[in-house]
Amino acid sequence: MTANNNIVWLALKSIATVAAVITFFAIAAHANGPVIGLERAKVWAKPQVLAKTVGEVKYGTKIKVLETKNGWVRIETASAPKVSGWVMKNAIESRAEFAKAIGSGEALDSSYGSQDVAAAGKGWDPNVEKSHRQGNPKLDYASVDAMEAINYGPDDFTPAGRAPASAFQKTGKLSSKIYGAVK
Amino acid sequence: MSKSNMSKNLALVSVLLLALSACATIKKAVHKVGEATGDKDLQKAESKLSPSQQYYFGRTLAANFFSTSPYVSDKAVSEYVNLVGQYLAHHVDAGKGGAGPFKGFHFAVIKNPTPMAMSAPGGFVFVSTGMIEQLQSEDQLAGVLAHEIGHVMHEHGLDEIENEAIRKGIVKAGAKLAELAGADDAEDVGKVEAFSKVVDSGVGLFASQPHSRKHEIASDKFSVRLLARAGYNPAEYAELMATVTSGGFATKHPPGEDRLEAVNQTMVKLKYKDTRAARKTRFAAFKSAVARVAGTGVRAPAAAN
Repeated sequence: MTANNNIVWLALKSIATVAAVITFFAIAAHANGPVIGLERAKVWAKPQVLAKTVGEVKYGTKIKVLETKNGWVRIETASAPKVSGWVMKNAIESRAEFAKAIGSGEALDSSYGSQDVAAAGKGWDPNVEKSHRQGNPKLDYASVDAMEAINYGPDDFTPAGRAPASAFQKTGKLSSKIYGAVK
Repeated sequence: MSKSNMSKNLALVSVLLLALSACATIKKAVHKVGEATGDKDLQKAESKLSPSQQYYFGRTLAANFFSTSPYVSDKAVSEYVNLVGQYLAHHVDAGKGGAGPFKGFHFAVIKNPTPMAMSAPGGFVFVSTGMIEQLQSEDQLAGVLAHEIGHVMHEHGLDEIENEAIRKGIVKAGAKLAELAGADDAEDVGKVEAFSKVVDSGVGLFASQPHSRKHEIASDKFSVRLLARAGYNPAEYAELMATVTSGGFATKHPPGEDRLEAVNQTMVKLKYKDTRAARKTRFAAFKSAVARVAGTGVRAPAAAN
């Protein structure tokens, strides 16, 4: 192999390595894009709590951020089923946070060492709870479930909503910034 | 240096430079949402527990609270406290975290004669039968719940674990438990027990540690603003704080003059209507129901005046 061939070979090798590095980091960067961070995030047609909702997006769904306004973020889902509209900003988290929560190897967290990242990835999920429950039979998870069973959404408190929430504002004469004034 | 070595070095340097710039890109991507929304909390969120982790951690804390202070399952009690609390929670401004925790807010009355209110990450709020006995109106109950909503929205509970090692310990313990899930030989069961103790120490820390003055004042201001937004009378909350400050009744973590002053200063700037009388009857029914289940002879509030 001549000196010239050597240089060409090295150049090709460098380009291949650089291309591989770019591809790797492009994938990693994509993996850290925004996702839905709540169990079910409501998506509104307008950035208002009582505006019409256009759907719900599940935890971990990849989204694109299109616009922000007063704590609201206009999003669209990255893949089908397509949902687009407004969510509140704290309904969104980074892909890294999501990966950490579900235990995926995609997590990249500068504040923890690699072992901690792996540990955090497996931490505090239904499996951990199951093990903890088995070891601590006195812990009263049944009452936590009962507590969580009572749910009234924003629409339930409107006059057309679900009883007893539908009458709550009117009978209490609560003049609200969201639900309006009561005479 | 030979031509070949120089080429190798150049290639290495270019790869390193690209890698470094790509690292910066990744870090930027991690903070993308925070940058897009201009939200500083979101930008640093990766170092905290995620909403789902907070939720599962909160569930364990709640299960722990209930093992010493039983959950009051009476329908009239649990429905009412959730109507007040969840109605309030829907008034949290979108800019201040309006969508709430992972599965929203949930409220519980706990059977305990000590006047106290607590919250856990993930949206779990507790108020004791002893506290309800001291409250004189729905507006005061709303003030107490709004204060706890403030602690959860600001993630004060997590912030106040100042010792990073403790937090890492909790996370690691959780991970180890997951790893051992389903383990059935004696040695592994022993490990699960050992790690459960570590988790319990974290639970104990959360349950016993009072919030800092700074966080209490932040939640007081949050509470007063939320009350006004929802149509409640924040003066009732100020009155409750004044009663506690002047020694009217003892709480686990009593407020001071500084908190009362912060509440009064915030209230002056707010507009609200006084419609307290409309809520007297339903609050009296709630107090009677609490008295029944607590067996403490809780008195109904004085007649409307």
